[in-house]
Order: sequence, then structure tokens, then C-alpha cells
Amino acid sequence: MEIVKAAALLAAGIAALGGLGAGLGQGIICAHAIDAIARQPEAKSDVMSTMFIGVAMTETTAIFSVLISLILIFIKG
Amino acid sequence: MARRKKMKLWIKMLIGIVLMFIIVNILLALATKFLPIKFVTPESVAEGAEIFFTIPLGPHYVLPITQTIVNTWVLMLLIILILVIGTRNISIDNPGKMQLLLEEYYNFVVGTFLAGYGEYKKAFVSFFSALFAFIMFSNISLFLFPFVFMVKKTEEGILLKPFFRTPTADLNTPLGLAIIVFIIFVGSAIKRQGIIGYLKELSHPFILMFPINLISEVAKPISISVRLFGNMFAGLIIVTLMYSLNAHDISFAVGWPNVLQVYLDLFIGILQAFIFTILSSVYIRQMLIGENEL
Repeated sequence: MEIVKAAALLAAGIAALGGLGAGLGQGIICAHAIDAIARQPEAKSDVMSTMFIGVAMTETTAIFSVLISLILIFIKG
Repeated sequence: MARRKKMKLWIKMLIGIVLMFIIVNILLALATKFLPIKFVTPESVAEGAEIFFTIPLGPHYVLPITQTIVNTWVLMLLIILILVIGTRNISIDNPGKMQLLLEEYYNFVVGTFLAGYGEYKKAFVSFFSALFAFIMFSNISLFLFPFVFMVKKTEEGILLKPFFRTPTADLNTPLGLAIIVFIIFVGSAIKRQGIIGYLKELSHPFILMFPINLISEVAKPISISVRLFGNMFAGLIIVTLMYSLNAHDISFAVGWPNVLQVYLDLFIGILQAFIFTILSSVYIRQMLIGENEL
């Protein structure tokens, strides 16, 4: 059963790659929010609250991948 | 000028908290060096909440009372205590500090979560304020009371465990809250347009879309609960990994994980409580008022 353990640990490492897309997405969200604030500084609070919601929604994919890798490590590894 | 003074006060308070953490951590590290004391390991945190005792329910079922449940009882008592103290001497002329805090909280809930609720504002204000307060206190419980320990005797020595294990890092708590939200939004949809109307709305463009719409309804509570659970569980694991580092038999739990805990528990915890509550408020508003009248 060593091969199963090795495969689970390898899969946990691969699953953590899901953070890549989430990082890119958060960067794009922040860039556009800064654009919007620079164009319309009086709408800063609205833009900020919407940005936080968007960032947290984008983070979900990364969180799912972290969960999958943690489950793989602690149950199979 | 007043704002700068306030900023200075906040910075002083933050530095004080971090210094206190560092001093207590150094004391704990010395205690683990000279006494047979062990701290909790990441594996035992990942396993799940500890079962304190069980209540038998019939021949085949038992009701386990876990650490999560006891922690939520303590947090509920804390919230009730804050509310009782805040509303004890209510006055318009010279309100106390706690009363002002609670009024500010009411304004925050009404302005943020209940925007666009119209005539249903009064019916839902207690639900959303309770939901946000409960999730927020659950998320930051480990940050608020990090040094409340449970003492346990094992063969290798004394095992010290924090009494608070973030209750939302157990899937049962967020899933239960999300199921309450699910029942409320389905119930309000049925109240607005009847069972037949709700089924018609589910098969909106044509009848073949019915299973897809049904899945998207069921996915809403699962997605919000798993988002909250994943964030808090990952934060708990990372903080435990940092606190359980060992170097030459000295527990390396000194100082620097606190900075991480300020981010992972305080910032992420409050943000995720906000996200959970605002998403459930959006779902309920869609079903209660209808998408066209927003």
C-alpha cells in the first residue's frame, strides 16, 4: 500500500495547483477595483465592499483545492 | 488630530496584544522545556472535534456532545451576556458605551444586509443580526481566548489542548446554519407564489431546465457552508502547524505565529462571516421579493 500513499501525496501536491487560478483572478479583481476607485474616488466604499465579496468568491476555488489536498494528506497519506 | 490620536491608540493596543502573546508564549515554551507538557499536534486537530460524552437515544442511536457543541454553548452565553449588559440601562439622554455599540451594530445590519427588504425589514432583522454575531464570534473564538486550556493526562505527560476549537471548522455547524437559510428561502418563495408558482419558476424557460435549476437551488447552501468551513479549517490547520513546531525539545510556539493568526483568524474570520450573511441575505431577498422588483 506504499504506492497508494505515494499517489495520494502526489495528488495532494497537484491539487494545490488550484491556487494558481484563484491568485490570478484576485489580481484581476484588485486591478479593476483600483481603476474604478481612481476614476470615481467618491464611490470608494461601494467598490471596496463589492471587491471584498468578489475576492472571497474567487478564493473559493483555492479553498476547495486546499481542502482536497488536506483530505488526501490526512486520510490517505 | 482626533483621528491620528485614535490611530495611535489602536496601534498601541495592537502592540500590547502582540507583546502579551509573546510573553505568554515564551512562558509556555519554558514550561514545555522543563515540565512533561505536550501541546496539541496537527493530526489530532485534523481528525475532528473531540467527543466529551454521549447521550443514548434509543437502541441504535447516540447523540454525541462534542467540543464544537460545548464551544457554541459558551459563545451563545457570551453573546447573551453582551446583549443583557448593553440593554440594561437604556436611555436617550446619556447612553452608555455598550448601548452605543449595539445601536451601531443595528445600523450596520439594517444598512448592509437588509437593503431592499422593504416591508420585511422588521421580520428579518433579528435573524440576520444573530447569524452574523454567531458566525463572527465562532470564527474569532480561538483568537479571543487562545490560552484557555484543557488539561489531559496521558502516558507521556500532560497534554495541553486549547478549549476553543473554532466551531465553524467543523462541517456540521456551517451546514446546519446553511440548512436554516435554505428552509427560509424556499419557504418564502412558496409563501410569495405558492407551490405551483415556485415549481413554474424552477422550470422557467422550458420544462427541460427543471433538473438544472433544482441542482442550482440545492448547490446554494452547500456552496456557502463549504466556503466558510474550508476557510476556517485551513486557517486552523496552518496556525496549528506553526504552533507545534519543535526545535531541540523547545516548543517553538514563540511570537511570530500571532501575526499569522491576526490575518487568518481575525481578518478572514470577520470577512467570511460577512460573506456568509450577505450571500444568504441575497438568496432570501431574491425569493422573498422577486428578481424583477429589485
